[in-house]
Amino acid sequence: MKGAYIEIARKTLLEGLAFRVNTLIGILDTVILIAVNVAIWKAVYASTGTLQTVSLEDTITNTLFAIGISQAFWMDEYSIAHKIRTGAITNDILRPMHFGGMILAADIGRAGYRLLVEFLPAFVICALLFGLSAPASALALPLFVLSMAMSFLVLHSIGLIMSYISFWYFNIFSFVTIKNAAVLVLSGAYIPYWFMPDWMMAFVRASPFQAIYSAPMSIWLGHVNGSSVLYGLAKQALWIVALQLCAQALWVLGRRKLAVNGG
Amino acid sequence: MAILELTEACKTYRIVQRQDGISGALKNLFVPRYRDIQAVKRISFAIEAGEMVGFIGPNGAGKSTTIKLLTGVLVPTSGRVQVLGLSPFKDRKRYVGRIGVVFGQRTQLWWDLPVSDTFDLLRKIYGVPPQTYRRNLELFDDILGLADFRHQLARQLSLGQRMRADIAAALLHDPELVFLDEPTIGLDIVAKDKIRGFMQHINAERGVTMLLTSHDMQDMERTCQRVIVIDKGALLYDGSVSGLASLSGSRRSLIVDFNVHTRCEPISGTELIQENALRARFSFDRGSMQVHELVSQVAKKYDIADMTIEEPSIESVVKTIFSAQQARL
Repeated sequence: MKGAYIEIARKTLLEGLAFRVNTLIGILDTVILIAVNVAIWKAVYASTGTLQTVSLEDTITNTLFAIGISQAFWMDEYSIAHKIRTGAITNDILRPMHFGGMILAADIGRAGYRLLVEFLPAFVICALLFGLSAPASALALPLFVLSMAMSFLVLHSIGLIMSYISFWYFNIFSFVTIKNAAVLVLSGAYIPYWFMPDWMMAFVRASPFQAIYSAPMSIWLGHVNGSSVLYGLAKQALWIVALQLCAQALWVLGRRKLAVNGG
Repeated sequence: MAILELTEACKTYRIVQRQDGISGALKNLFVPRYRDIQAVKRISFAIEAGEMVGFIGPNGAGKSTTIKLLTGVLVPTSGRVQVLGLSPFKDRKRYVGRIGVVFGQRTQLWWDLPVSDTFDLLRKIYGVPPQTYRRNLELFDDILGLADFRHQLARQLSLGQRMRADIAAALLHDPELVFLDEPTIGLDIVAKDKIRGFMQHINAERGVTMLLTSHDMQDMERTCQRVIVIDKGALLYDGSVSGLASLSGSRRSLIVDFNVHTRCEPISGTELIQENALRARFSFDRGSMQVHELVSQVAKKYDIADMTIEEPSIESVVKTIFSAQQARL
């Protein structure tokens, strides 16, 4: 049984590897995106001098990781929504597996492929071009990886919730678009938190967006230390649990709403 | 003991009633009007272990909805569904591991993978022991001829091959109970025969209980001992196949195609219901007229290219049963 989830993750990963041109474009895409944002930050720093409390190097590091990885942590809400709408979800319901677990396995496979094959080369290229701050301490590196894994789970959980909306609404396009915009702006990838006004930070701190890229980045950059690292990780874990509970509730309610007509 | 029990099961879909025109669309936006559609109305039946039961009805009769209630895909609006001692909807994960399901119109094969990869994944999902897996694959190769295309991508298969692969996929884990929804839809006679033979083999040799829906009366006559007929969501008939045949009336049609333009003369005991230069259609009663007698009479008189005997369609059977019931009321 456990093997089945691993197998699904493996199959999704291999599926990605089958398309070579896609991979090349993916690398190029990520490099361009990072380069443009680095150029913007360089211009901002040049015009404001050293007014900022955080160095240009740290801001570039944030851009490299957060924007680069956000390209890999892209969830596929529409394919699940399509399954629900067309009734193709019948096939998944007829398997003795947990549906959310199957989606998680597929998401892990896809993210794994994108991290290895698209993000990693793009990251190396950009690090050589633009430079990079070292992790704050030796311990910061493994904690960063752990925290980034939890960021993935937060995004996966939000994605599940979005997909399940299609049990009620035919078209989830607007929901997903709003969510994606919110993640871009509020997760700390495109606008690091040290540039955000206080009133906005008050909102962000109470939202799950804070548990996405800012959590691991603040560990790498040494913006949090000691017990506040643990506090940040615990907060991420809590968000994962809360969002998963919410997704599970929607799944249980949505399944009762499911109507599969014809065929 | 019954392993499948449906008690007064109902399924109602609520759909938005669209209104015409721009004003209608606007009205809909603010005050949507709903309409309830009763797909299944208080259906009850039970199936014993080892039975092979046909489930028939015209399009939109509620067959697929009933199958989806029985497989745990849908939750009944009211009534009780109890299969293998479980509630299919509530105990979904435990339940679906013990059944097999084929939807003829919807493949369960992974579209971009070779069939063998799908089988491999299913083996892991259901935790099929290696020797069972090997034994089943051999059997499927034997009877369904899977070996020819097991390594092809699912999307490159012909309809007949895909259906055979789908049926094999549903039986890989030795389910106790198998649901087949239109397993022969769109297939030619040879492919249909292969699939019927396989279903009979699995039912007879392994004692697997089967419920199959079909549009094809011959599917029922060839494979099932018992049939359940539904129409418009309600149960019309539950009994033996021969009982259904007698209910459906004994009138058959003989269609004769001629080699040359022919004018037919009436034959006693039959009724000439349609005639043109190259084709004639005689209606006769199977009870009072022997088929071979009629055939030889026609063959002696005319120069014949082809002859076919037409069985009543499911639609006409349902109509006959329905009007018989109305008459009784």
